[in-house]
Amino acid sequence: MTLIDEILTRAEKKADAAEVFHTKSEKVSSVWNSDRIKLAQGKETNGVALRVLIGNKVGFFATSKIDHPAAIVDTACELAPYGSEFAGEFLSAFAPADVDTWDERTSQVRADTLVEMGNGMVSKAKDARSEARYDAVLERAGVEATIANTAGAQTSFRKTVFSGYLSGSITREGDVLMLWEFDDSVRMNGQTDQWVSDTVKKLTDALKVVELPTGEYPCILTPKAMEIMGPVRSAMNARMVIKDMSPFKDKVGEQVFDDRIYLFDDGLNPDMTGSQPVDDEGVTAQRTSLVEGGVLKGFIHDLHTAKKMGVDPTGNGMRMGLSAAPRAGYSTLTLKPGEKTLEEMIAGMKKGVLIDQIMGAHQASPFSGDFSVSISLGYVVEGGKIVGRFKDGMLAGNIFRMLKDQIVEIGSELKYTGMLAPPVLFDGMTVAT
Amino acid sequence: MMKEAALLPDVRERIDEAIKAGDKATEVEIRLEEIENTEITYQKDSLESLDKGLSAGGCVRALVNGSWGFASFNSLENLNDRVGEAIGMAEAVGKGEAKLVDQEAHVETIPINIKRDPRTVPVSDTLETVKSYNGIMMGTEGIVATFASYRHFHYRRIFANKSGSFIEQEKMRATLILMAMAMDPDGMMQDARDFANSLIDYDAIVGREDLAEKVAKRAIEVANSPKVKGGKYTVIVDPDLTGTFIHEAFGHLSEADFVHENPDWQKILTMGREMGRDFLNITDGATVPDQGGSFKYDDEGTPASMTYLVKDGILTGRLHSRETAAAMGENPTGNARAVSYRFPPIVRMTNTSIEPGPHTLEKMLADIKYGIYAVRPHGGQTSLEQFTFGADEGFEIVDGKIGKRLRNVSISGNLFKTLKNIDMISDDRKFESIGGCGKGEQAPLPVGTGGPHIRIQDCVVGGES
Repeated sequence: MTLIDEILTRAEKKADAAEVFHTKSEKVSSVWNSDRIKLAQGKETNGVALRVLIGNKVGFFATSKIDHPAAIVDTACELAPYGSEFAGEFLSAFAPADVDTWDERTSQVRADTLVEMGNGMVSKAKDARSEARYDAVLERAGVEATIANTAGAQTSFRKTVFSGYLSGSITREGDVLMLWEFDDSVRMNGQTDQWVSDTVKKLTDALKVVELPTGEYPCILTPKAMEIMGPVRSAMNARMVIKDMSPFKDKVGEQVFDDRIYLFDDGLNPDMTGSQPVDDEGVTAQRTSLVEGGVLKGFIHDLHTAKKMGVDPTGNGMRMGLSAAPRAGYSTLTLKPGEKTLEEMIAGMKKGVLIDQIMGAHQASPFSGDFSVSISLGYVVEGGKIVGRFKDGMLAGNIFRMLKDQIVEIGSELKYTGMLAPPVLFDGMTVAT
Repeated sequence: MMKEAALLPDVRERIDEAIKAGDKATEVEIRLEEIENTEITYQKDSLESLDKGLSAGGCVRALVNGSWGFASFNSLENLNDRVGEAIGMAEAVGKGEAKLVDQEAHVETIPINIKRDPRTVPVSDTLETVKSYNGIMMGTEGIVATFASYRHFHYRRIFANKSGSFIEQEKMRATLILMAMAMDPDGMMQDARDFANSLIDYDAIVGREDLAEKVAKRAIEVANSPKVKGGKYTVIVDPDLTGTFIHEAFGHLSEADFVHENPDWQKILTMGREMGRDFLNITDGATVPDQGGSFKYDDEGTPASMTYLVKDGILTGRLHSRETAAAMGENPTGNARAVSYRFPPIVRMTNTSIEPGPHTLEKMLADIKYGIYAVRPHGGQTSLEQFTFGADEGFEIVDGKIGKRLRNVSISGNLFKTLKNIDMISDDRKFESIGGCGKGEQAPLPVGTGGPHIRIQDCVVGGES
């Protein structure tokens, strides 16, 4: 009997329903500090998470000690009488979507290849801007998962992940410049060359420090700086809605943003590591429209929230690691791009700022959307050109208001930074220096 | 509850044999570990999650030709092959320059003296306890949302290396976090939070109805208090916020891997540099008893010690692993730590603290005409020498007395200027171990932070000016 069968057979005798999630991963990575390689490593994981239902309550237990199925079942069943409410039912059949997130070539990459790639990347960057020091990580992983339940459904899927970053820094007392480029993708496809050229260009543009008086400016936020979308992500998550903690709770069908805003969660993008044929509860992956032409269409759901709100699940039951039960989370939240490239947006700017890195976005008020963040990398644009970097700036605003009333232009180039977003030009942003 | 089984039968023999398989390596380290954890979260009116986990696994780190290779795994079978894998990884790196300070062999099993073990408490009891705290907060007029969370972990860790050490250690922590939210007159949610935790006793989180009442009451007071007016003030910082400040803003710069690899920073952080007045002393050490960063041996088998980072106002020390100590010609300090078997050890803080000074809190307050009292950390960020920390509670100080409450108090500035502007340090000290420190991808690592009250002149306080 397989491990999964044994767990389910045992669990069936003690609980009303049970669901097993078994995942294995294998990854290799390499680390560079201050221009030099530090380490290569290989990591293997193997673990199961069991969710049992007794009445409408959940017992959840996750472990990498998979050789004691009886103990796994007992522990989950002992917790169930006290567990949190689960309104849904486990599906009796899974219908995997047609999305392939396994790239054979990426899965074959070994440590020596990563080392060679990374050494090449760092030395190329060093050749171009020798006054900077470079840190980097390159990693590739293969992940497989099987979901099965006592309702009789079972499916497996696998994915490859290529991820990492290159960061460049120039340090003087009183002025520390640090910038980075990163990616997280199903495929290895020349990311390192892109990081080098972007990092070198950004370092070069940042060499000159210019003054920027406090004031209101048109402001381009790059995809990295669009991190301030956090409160919007949270507002469109049904987990927040059912807790009465989303400002969008009663706003479905209403115009909440500028009519150029289209937001969707894309579970089917074959390049993104958030994609898989079914979510971590076995619900078919899909593309879920959340905002269309500025109008709120709905929320992302897991089985529990969908049942609570009387709608269909959206394939967003995600596990944040093995040891947490599935909860509504994004596959890849995507902001639909516009027409102009970043270069064209800068060229069209008389006087304004370009903000690429911010700090403290997680402190934005999730309810109101108000934020005040430090600008860790911001450039002054004059007459259509970047003239230098400004230091010690703070950017303040309200993300809901910005997306409603302050959009001038949405850029064309999508980049993954936790969500897939283009650069966006906002008007009348307060920058304090 | 799961039975406490040995990590592995014949563990000593199997580890010894595996280490022998790594004869071409300069050093081989093996760590095996079992971690149990439970998390309970109430949010508003209901139980949000009750999760339990048990993770067992191990890792091998090998130094070959001056380069490191690392392998981690869940299956503890075939340790010999894992050593081979780590060596293979090191060989993929190529020739490197890493050297290690020689180490004495330590063979020891170190039990912890747990008063009440959280693993022996029925989960139904813990749920009732946390639920009652949540109920107290939710039941308070004006509270719109709450968060009551309990978690504990317990781990056992075996460490062995080619240098001959074989060390078994265990650690636990039980933590309670309470948070209550109330609306301010601008319609913004304001929260107050507090916590209780212990490294040796579950009972530290029992009978804390007082804490729940305090947090709820404070949230409402905070929401209805005036905003601080931004500007420069004389600020007195309480021990909790002092501890967080010194850990985040200064401690990370004392980690020798950072300094060693960054010659620009070595110039800035030259030993002998004047950092503050002669009563400013900053220490880090795992020898402080029963705090988050306490242990007898670090994850390279180096005995714990106490390091003066700043002594009598002068920069005097930094934190080392065997590798950074060898590279900089200094002594290892016992600061090589790994968050779990999934990661190699790196230079980390343990229990970091400003040492008590010569002044009393009364004296520090006495000559302040108008100043700010900032209490407990509430979020924050540092970017090398720049820092910003929110305060969970803020008060004005008027004519030497702590006065009315203010909201949105935060302190920010440049580390070096701020340390020089500390003009008084109180003679008491408090440690906290709520903190989980993050560095690279390794988080949360249990640490202790401590300090007395400190007084900072010309400190930038955020808010609306």
